[in-house]
Amino acid sequence: MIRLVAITAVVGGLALLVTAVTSLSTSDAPAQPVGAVTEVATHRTVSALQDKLRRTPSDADAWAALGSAYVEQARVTGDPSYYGKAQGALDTSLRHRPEGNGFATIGLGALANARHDFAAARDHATRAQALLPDTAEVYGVLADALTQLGMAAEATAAVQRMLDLEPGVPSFTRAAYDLEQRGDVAGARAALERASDAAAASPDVVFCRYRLGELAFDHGDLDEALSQYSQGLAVDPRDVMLLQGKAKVEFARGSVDEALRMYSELVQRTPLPQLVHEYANMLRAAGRDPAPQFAVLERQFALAPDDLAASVAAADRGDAASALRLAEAEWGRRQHVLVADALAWALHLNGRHEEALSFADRAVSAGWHNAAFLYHRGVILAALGRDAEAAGVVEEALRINPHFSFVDAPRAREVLGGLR
Amino acid sequence: MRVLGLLLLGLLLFPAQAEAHPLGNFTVNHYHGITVHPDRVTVRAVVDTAEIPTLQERPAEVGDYASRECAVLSRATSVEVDGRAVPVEVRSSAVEFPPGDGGLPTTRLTCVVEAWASGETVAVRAGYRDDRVGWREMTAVGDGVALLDPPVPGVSVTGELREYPDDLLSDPLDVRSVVLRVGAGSSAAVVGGEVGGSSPPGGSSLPGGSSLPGGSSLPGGSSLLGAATQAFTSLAGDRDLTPLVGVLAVVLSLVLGASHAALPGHGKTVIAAYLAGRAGTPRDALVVGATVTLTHTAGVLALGLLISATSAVAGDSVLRWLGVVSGVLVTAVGVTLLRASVRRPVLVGHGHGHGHGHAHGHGVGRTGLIGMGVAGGLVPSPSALVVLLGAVALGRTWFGVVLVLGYGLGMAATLTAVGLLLVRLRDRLAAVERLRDRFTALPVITAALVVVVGVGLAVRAAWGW
Amino acid sequence: MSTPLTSRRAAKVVAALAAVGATALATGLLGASGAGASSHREAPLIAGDPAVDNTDVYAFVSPDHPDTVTLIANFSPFQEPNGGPNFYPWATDARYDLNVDNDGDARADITYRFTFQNDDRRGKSTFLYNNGEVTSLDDENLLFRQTYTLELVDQRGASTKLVHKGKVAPSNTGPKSMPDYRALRDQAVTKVQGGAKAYVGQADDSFFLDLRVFDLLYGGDLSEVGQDTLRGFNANTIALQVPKAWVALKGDAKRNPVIGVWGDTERRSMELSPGRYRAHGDWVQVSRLGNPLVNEVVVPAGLKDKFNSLTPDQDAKVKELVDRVTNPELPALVEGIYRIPAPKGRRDDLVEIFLTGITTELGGPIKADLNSQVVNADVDKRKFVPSEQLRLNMAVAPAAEPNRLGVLAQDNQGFPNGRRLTDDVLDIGLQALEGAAVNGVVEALAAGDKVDANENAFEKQFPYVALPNNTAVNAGGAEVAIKPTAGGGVPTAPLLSGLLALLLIGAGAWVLRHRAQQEPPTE
Repeated sequence: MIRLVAITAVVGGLALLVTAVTSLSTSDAPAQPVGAVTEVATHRTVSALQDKLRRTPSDADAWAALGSAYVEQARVTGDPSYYGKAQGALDTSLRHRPEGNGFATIGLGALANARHDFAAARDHATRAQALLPDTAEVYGVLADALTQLGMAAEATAAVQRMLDLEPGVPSFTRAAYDLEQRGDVAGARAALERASDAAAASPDVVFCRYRLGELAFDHGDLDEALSQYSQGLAVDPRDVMLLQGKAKVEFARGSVDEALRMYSELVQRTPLPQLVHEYANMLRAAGRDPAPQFAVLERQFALAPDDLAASVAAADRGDAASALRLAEAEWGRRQHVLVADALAWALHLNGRHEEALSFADRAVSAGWHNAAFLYHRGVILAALGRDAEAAGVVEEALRINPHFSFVDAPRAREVLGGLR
Repeated sequence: MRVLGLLLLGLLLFPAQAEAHPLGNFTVNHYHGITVHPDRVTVRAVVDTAEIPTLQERPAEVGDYASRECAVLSRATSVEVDGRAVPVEVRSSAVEFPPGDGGLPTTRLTCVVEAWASGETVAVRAGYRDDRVGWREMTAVGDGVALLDPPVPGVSVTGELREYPDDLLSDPLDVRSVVLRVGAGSSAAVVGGEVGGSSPPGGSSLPGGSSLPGGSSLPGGSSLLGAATQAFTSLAGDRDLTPLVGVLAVVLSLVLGASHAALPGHGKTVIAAYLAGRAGTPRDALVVGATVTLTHTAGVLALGLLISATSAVAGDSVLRWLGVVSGVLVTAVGVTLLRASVRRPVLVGHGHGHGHGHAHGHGVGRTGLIGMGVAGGLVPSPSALVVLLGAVALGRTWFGVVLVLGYGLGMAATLTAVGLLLVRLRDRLAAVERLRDRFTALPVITAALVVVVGVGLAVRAAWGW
Repeated sequence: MSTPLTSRRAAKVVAALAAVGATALATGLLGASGAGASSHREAPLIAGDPAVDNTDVYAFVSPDHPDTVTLIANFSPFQEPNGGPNFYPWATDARYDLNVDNDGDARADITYRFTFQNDDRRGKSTFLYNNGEVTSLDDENLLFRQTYTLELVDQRGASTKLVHKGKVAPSNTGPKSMPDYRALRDQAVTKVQGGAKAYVGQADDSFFLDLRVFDLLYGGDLSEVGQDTLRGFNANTIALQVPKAWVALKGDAKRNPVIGVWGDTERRSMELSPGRYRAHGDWVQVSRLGNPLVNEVVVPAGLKDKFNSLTPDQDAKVKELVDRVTNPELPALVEGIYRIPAPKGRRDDLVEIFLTGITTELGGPIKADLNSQVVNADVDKRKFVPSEQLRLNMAVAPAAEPNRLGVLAQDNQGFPNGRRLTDDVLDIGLQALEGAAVNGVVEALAAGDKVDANENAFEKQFPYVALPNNTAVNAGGAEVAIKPTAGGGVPTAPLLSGLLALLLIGAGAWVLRHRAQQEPPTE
């Protein structure tokens, strides 16, 4: 018996020795964290709130903050599943505090804006304003809704209030859009530069760079546009919108094949309706078949209706009746200048030039230096036989941005030639 | 009416099962189910492509879509074993087009790819369509090898992209790569799984889920005990070892050892019968208990350290052999008893006089007792082994040793208590007296019983029952 | 309701975490979601503004120069010290103010104002912060630099320049880029004529607390606390050491030893009205801080943004704010959940701590004259206006062994008499709210958040704050396990194992030999 024990001891000792030696030899290696080897793109943005709510699930304020954070996540990641989560979180917050829950109300407003339900967003913001009159986010939600509903003056006031409460990225970027729509390009640029200086989080930096690039592109400054897009891509080399900007510059500079290649990659990666639509137009401009892209686009609008975008797409593929029907439907909901422009164009395509002109006038009334608006208005004027005016307007459009549209910019030059 | 009520209840309990593609209709969602075999790594990849990309791609119009895309996927999937890239080959490919929203089809591509290699670390990185928005999930299990503390679960939370969970407090999964540590043979998980018998033969799905070794499949009589066992193993593996946790773990190990010994099939019947039949004394009971503890602790330690040291030895086969050895040992004791009872009937006949019988029985008895104890403690209980291995894997060997010691002490306490109880009862109760008489009158039966149990143990171990 | 995560500081927590998380998120997704992005530009709504977020203010008599007082303010919390592309500049269109009120009228008598300028040498070709190892503030590898101007602004608004083109210590981008950060920091300590010193740069976030302690308001498990929420993170720090006479009323720190201190930051708004457009409009106060944790425990959630815009002279006019001091919510919630009785009646003790300073002269319940401006000999009591400030009696000599519980532990040099870096303000604040200033320490809550000290030791001399961390924070927590091996030295566990192994083998062999020698005779 004792012998057995002794043998066991020897064997065990040897085994232990081997273990010790191996552990000694491996401990020289750089300490690798145990277990943590999964590479997960963590969403730390919201994880602090998630953790907190797992501990204290009845915290109405934390639920509201989480809901708003999810709306931001959706914006940043483009992942619409966050909308559902945002709704759930905000509903939960309101369940825990049904009355006087200003932060949840702000969140609901932001969510409604994100879902393009601007009237509801305005209502939420108004209710939140009563509860939290000194909170900047209230006016951000309000400004977004009012802008899209076409209430420009009220929107400006809301942005001003937001600026005076909290000058920062959210208010500066909204100020830039407000100024741009009123034709103050220098002001818009200054506002975006201030936003860009204040931006800390990389999605915010990327957003500011893209907007600065767009502002430059929309006013014909390809070099500046490319520089801005590139600075954004230095922060996030795979950002879809910045790459879209670069592709537009490529096209404008005549690298049609490269631009098409970039777009085809982009629509494969993220088939956003906007990108698919632009790709279809680029294919048209290059003399290639856009039909498959338009087919995809049509199904997308069937899955997620967007009457404004659908109207413009219908007009681009030659379906004038649908374009008009959709534009009128959108106009019934909101009277933003972009809707006025789409309605004007759709009316024109249906031969109703007089009516078209009144909406085209409305589109440019605020002073937005938007080349597409001017081109549409010029063509409508020409259809009404007011050639001299038309030539001036189209010329102005091309002066603002000679590359304002893959398809329409060359056409504008033709129209201009014909008018002279 | 009742059916309707149940339906409504169901709706209330499971509100709004997430839509088909939680991330929207232009997502491409990925699932990679990794199985590490001793000689290869198999990845079962499912790619669930939502309506819009399906529309863009029109895969139904491509004849060899599945094989073509699986080939692309296999090239985009990197498998590195011990830092060395291993070629990934397609084993099978399939595609189907489940209907989605708006009358549009979706695409469900299933590829099984494999890479032939073995090693200590397996790194898998999924690169197929990695720039698309979508759910990205990975699972990992070992088949015939163990995954040490795998960072991903063993079971898909989406049922391989069929049902997406809808939790307000979690983000969509975005797991793109994983590094698995393979403990060849030292798999706590495999030991637990195999011994627990919950792993189907040759099955690929070890009950993982828990990130702790052997987390979910430990043998335990009742589910309560199972839960306690799991808590025990997780304590040893707990990364934040505080003094409180430490003490708790030791206490738990005592309790578990005690309850483990109380479970059937631990040679207690043998010991009980032996003690009852052999006119055992309290001291005998103590001897048996002490032997069990010593043997068990030594056995677990020896096996655990052996396993840690020589990764070539498969843990489950060692266990099986030990089981056989234990059975044979018990049988041997039985045979010895049988021989003794046949050879020296007189001795047993004396049985009525306690002191006398005791004195006489001592010589043979001591060895027999120790043999019993060795038999009772020789088969290291899997949970104790798991704890030790878990602790070793976490670099906390000494804590594991302490726990195993506690476990053995707990076992010994139960066995000793049973023994003492029997000794006492036998002295007190007439019924037991008669029982003892019968046993003492029929020592052959006692011995035969021991033999039967021993053979049973050996057979059970050999057949892996 | 005041919950830490919706308070100013914590709201910024989320925003700041967004900033760090965003890099990981940048997996090439969209800039805009959903349809019609061309019409609806989805601008950020809760971007946060960490660069101007004043998170903490400290004021204490300098332990190594007791004739001076040190003021420290922290900004831009939750800086990830993982190096690489992240760095944390100071805002150039902002004012960073340290204010002193020495006569108790709730208006700044002296303001030390820091403003920043960029010195960007990156050109258009690179976006890198530094281009190799940085060994001095003038190192040519440091491509993005900032300088600051320090002005002294008096109550009439007249300003005197104290520092021109002061050098800012850079963000620590890791041991490879900045192998000796201390050298950089030493170079960044700027002497000011007249015996003052200034430091502007990165430091370890000196605040230590477990934010989860506030979960107790919702019945959360207090046993969960004990983890420093700010562990491993850096912050931007301004430290200023000035002779006491500079800040004392009439320059006489003997007669007038009490000062009130608060920090604030201002950014310029923008004027949008058609025709009156200005890119840089009026200054807007966006952040303000005096006493620690005021946002967490005093200011109601709905009032936090407003509070940040208030100047102290407006405090007493905001009824909701005063009500929250005289009748705070936290003790009632604690009573509801933990059965610790809340102090009864109007909380004039808290009024003293937060709004007037501790004094018997204003009829408060705390029997001490410590740190209200009315203690100053030359203060006109009738002009005193209650306001939220961090009040310091500079006459209290520095404690040799500072007690983390400050005044509550009879160490009158600590919070709420000013605030030292080592003061455990969370535990003090919790106790104060439970009435400890009048009734003594509440034992049931004595453990507080169980974070009693900062993770990095503070320095013995100016600027006192700890050097910035330069290893990544495991903010993910559960994801990353820390290997339980002691750093460096001899690996003891394998050694012990080896010893035991040898012992076992030896013993086994000895027994075997012993038996072998003994056996022949028995056979």
